[in-house]
Amino acid sequence: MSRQTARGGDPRKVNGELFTLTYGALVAQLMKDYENDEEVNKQLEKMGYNIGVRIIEDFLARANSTRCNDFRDVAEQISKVAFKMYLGVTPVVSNWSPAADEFSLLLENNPLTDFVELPEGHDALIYSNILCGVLKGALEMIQMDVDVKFVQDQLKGDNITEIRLKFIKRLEDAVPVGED
Amino acid sequence: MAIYSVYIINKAGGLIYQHDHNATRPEVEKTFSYPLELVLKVFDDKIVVAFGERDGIKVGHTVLSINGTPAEGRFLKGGRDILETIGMEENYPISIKFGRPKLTTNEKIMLASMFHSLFAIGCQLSPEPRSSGIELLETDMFKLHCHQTMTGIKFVVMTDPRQMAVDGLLKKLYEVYADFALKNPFYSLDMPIRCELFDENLKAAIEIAERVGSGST
Amino acid sequence: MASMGKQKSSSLDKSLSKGKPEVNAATYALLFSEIVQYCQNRVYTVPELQNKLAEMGQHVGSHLLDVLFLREKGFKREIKLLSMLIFIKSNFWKTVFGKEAEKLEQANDDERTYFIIEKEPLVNKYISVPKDKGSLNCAAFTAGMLEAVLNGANFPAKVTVHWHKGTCFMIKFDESVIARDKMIDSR
Repeated sequence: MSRQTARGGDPRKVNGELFTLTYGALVAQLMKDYENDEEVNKQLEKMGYNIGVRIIEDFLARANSTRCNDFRDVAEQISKVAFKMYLGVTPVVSNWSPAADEFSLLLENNPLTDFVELPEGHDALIYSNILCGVLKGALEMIQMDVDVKFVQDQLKGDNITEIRLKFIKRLEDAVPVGED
Repeated sequence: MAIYSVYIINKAGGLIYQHDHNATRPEVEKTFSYPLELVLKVFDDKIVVAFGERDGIKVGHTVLSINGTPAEGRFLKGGRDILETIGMEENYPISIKFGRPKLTTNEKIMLASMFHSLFAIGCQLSPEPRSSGIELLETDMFKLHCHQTMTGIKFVVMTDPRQMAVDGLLKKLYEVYADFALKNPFYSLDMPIRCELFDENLKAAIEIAERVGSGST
Repeated sequence: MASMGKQKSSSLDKSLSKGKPEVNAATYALLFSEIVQYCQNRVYTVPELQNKLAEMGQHVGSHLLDVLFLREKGFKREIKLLSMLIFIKSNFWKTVFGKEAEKLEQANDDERTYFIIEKEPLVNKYISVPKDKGSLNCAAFTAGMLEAVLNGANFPAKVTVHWHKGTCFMIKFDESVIARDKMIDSR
């Protein structure tokens, strides 16, 4: 019962199906508009980037989080706070590189891919590539240049969905004075 | 209690939003007989009181209007020269309104960018090794509160010195920005904010903050 | 069918929330904002933009209907026009948008035309339409959703969006729907 009262009353939540299907409609539209899967992937990443540079402000305005000390902090914040807050799931952080500059986010349930089956002949499509763009854009706004890509995807028959993040460099020029 | 104005400055030092809320600037209108005992001078292309403070008219005030006709720089609307008009006996008795001139948009942009630089200088001059810059500037007449986000945007709020709970307002303004500017498909990042819903929600936040933070008197 | 017995009023809404966790409204708003920007970059005029948004809304609506029917054993196919409209205004709206629509009205002069009025549709929550975009209402997307749901439920109609008491969805049913409804009534 409490579930229902929450539904009626929480304007900060949106029905998960509506979200998944809206994303599906976007991908379908892109597949119509672009010639090949690579172009669609690129477009999805670009849109994700645009979301990332904006969602980070929402995150900073609302999550009360403080500046991260190292990449391990960043990984924790992304999985336990940001993913939880924006997608309602908490990916597992794992597969750290020895230098601690690379890790994976393991997703059991990807909220973007419910009821999705990749159509035949689109093996190169990275359906959820928007997430890579979001992570890249958001981290860039807090002056981290990070490489983000899918290495496993349940949509393609893998057991788990895995996003790999690799720290490239700190964007020193972009650091606002008073924020070092 | 009062919140006077809000400035939002992007990470390059550009003013992307400004709102005057409760900017009560004192104005004094008085009818004079010849000769005028105040000494006026031209300063920065305006007519300014140089000497002879009286009845709330202060040195530094500019002539805002004469007999109801508004001033535009050194001239009245319509083109008459202000100093000439005041110099002629046949124009008396004459009613002159004095006050602090409103800042023009260009002046605000310039001030915002100067504050941006001052903030950076503050960080560098600070004896603290990792200074976070100017958070509060205090004067007898007002306080300037500034919050810089991790992404480099500055929210600046000018208030009455007795106004409390401004931190809450700064946080709220950041939320309003994250919602009604950034989630609007027609707003481009780093550009001036012209969104109706942003204006409405910002004003509402200011009004709540004024009520909450009015403190005990 | 077995679950029909208890809590029939809210079974739709319950089983859907069980099926899928909700996401943050911010996430949805930013995704929708990207969709609007994408569409805008590919068209020249406001009506074209609305059409494009409506098309994408239709895609969502048709799949949403599948999900509702698939998930919901107790989901009854409405046959009567008025019951269908009430279902849309209350259950459907509440499930999908978290609250019922504000008003359902029929046009005074046309038995084929109905209005659903919503002061602030979900998709418009953060959107300020710039002056040069005039009458643009991004809830054209929602109108497209409604249209697909009605068509999929065998109530062919055209749904358009207007600014009136907030946002107004104008539903104009096919002649055949009205005729069928009259037939059911006369039986």
